[in-house]
Amino acid sequence: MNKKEFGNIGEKITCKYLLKHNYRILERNFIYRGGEIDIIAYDRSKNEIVFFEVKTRSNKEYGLPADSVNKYKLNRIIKGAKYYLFKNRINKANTRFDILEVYYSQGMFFINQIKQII
Amino acid sequence: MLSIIKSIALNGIEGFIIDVQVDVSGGIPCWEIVGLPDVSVKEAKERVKTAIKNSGFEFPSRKIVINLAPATIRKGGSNFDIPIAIAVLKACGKIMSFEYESTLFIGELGLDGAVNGVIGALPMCIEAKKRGFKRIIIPSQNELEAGIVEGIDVIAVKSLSQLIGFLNNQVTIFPSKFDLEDVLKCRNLYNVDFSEVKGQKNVKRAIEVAASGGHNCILIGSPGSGKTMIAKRIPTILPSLTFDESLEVTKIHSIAGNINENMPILVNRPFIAPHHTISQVSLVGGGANPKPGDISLANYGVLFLDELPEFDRNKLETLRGPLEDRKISISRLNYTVTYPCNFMLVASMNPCPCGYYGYGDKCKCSNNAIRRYLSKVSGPILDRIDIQVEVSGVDFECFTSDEIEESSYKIRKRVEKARAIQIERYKNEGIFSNSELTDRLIEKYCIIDGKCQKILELFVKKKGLSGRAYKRILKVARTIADMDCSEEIQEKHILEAMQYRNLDNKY
Repeated sequence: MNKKEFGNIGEKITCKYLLKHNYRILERNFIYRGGEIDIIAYDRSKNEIVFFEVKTRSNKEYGLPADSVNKYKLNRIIKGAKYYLFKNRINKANTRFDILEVYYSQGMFFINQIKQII
Repeated sequence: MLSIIKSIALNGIEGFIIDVQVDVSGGIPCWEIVGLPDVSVKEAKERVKTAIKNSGFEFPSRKIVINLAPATIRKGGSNFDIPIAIAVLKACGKIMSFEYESTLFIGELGLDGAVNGVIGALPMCIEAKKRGFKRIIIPSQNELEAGIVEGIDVIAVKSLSQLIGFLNNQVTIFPSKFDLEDVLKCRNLYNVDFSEVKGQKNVKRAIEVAASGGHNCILIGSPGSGKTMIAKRIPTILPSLTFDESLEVTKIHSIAGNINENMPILVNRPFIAPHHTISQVSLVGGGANPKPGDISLANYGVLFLDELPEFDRNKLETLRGPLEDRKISISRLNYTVTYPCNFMLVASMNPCPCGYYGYGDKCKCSNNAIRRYLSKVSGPILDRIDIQVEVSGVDFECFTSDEIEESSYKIRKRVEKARAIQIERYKNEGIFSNSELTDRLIEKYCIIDGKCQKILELFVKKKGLSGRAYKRILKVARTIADMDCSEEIQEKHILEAMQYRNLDNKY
């Protein structure tokens, strides 16, 4: 299994997690010039469009998954979010940016959602 | 959703009302402060965000724009944390309707949601009352200081959650009540007294004259003759501060950040004695964020400059204007502020570098050295000092004698009597003491007869005194006459006043 496949498994698992938690998936792997947003979902309970960055890691030797989302990555995601809102003509929606950390250890996946990173 | 909360900022000792406008809308979340904030106001973002989270509320993931209107005035300080937090919560619908129009909010937030004290709470409360606000929300640390103001509900809060409870009518906070009697108990309590000064009758008399009229004075004498000892006791014989004067003094000390819970209001006249290494800015005020200097902190009190010639000349020269105008206007690129500085200047110096000139043959200084030493104090400064008095050493018999000296209390009673006459006389002129007389008022109130005129003319011509010195002699003579309860200035009053200008005479 290469790195890409491993990441895709992580994203699939998080989609299941989000559906269970009252989210509606709007888009997966939204590609724009300059990058990609892993998951875009609608949070029914809070009436917010949420842009997710999913980070999957199999060990913690290189730090926690969320640590690798830095300022540049964040700016790229914001740019993509603006493009998504513009493309779909969404003017007044409330938005949120979250990180979904997925660890793999001992044959199990663990999900940690970090809300409202900006 | 838009919400507007009123707060207040200070410029000098005057306050002006600031509208904290907060708009919360959709779109990409961000958090901006506009309206010419300085760094300490911009830092409010992080404090407010964390404090809201840690007070058990959710911080909204929205686009938040904060404007501090009017946007042309530069705002500093941490007192906008509370109004910003309340405005954000109100815009998100977390707090109910309240009389926001007639309420002022000030306070700094800690990360845990605690409300911390601010600088200048008293002048802000006074301004709020002047502008007709119904209540003001202040940090509980400023409660004692701000509670003095009457006619406005002062609500002291400890934490953000307590304040939100209050605004939602879930928590009751009673307006602060201030026990004036409790504070006034400390009035005129000093740990020094004039009865400790043995002998020195002539100096004591001169100091009493100076205190009665609020005149500046300088003490010249050899080391150890008691100059500093006497100067330290001057506040003990000055008339007690009235309540309004107390407020004025406390206002300035509040802005300077000198007020704490142990001393919420100053009831005694301040005695400020800066060391001669003081910088110009800390003497007259100023700095990147304007702060009152020592001359303003000595407002209604005494500014004591020990060893006057040791002060740098350029620092002393900055006192020229304030000594005349009794206020200081500080103009910088970003601000212009005016602070009052109605102080009584008391200075002390030695007659020569070794200190013993004129006392036996102990002095070994050359004439040149003496001249150089005295020239450090410029003529214009000396000219503004009404009373110049020599302090000579005391005989051994004198300070071992059992004779009981007059207490400060007795002297103060006399001083207060003389001041009462002055206040009564000048009640329509807007001044309180003889030292504040302007040229026009001198002509009106310091009338002398022909004989006195003749004596004075002779004296001024012989010594080559300036017009200002002449007028200052008249002012001192007026004070001496008041101490005598005499309507007009008599010959003996003039003669006594003349001998208080002996510096021009001797050196």
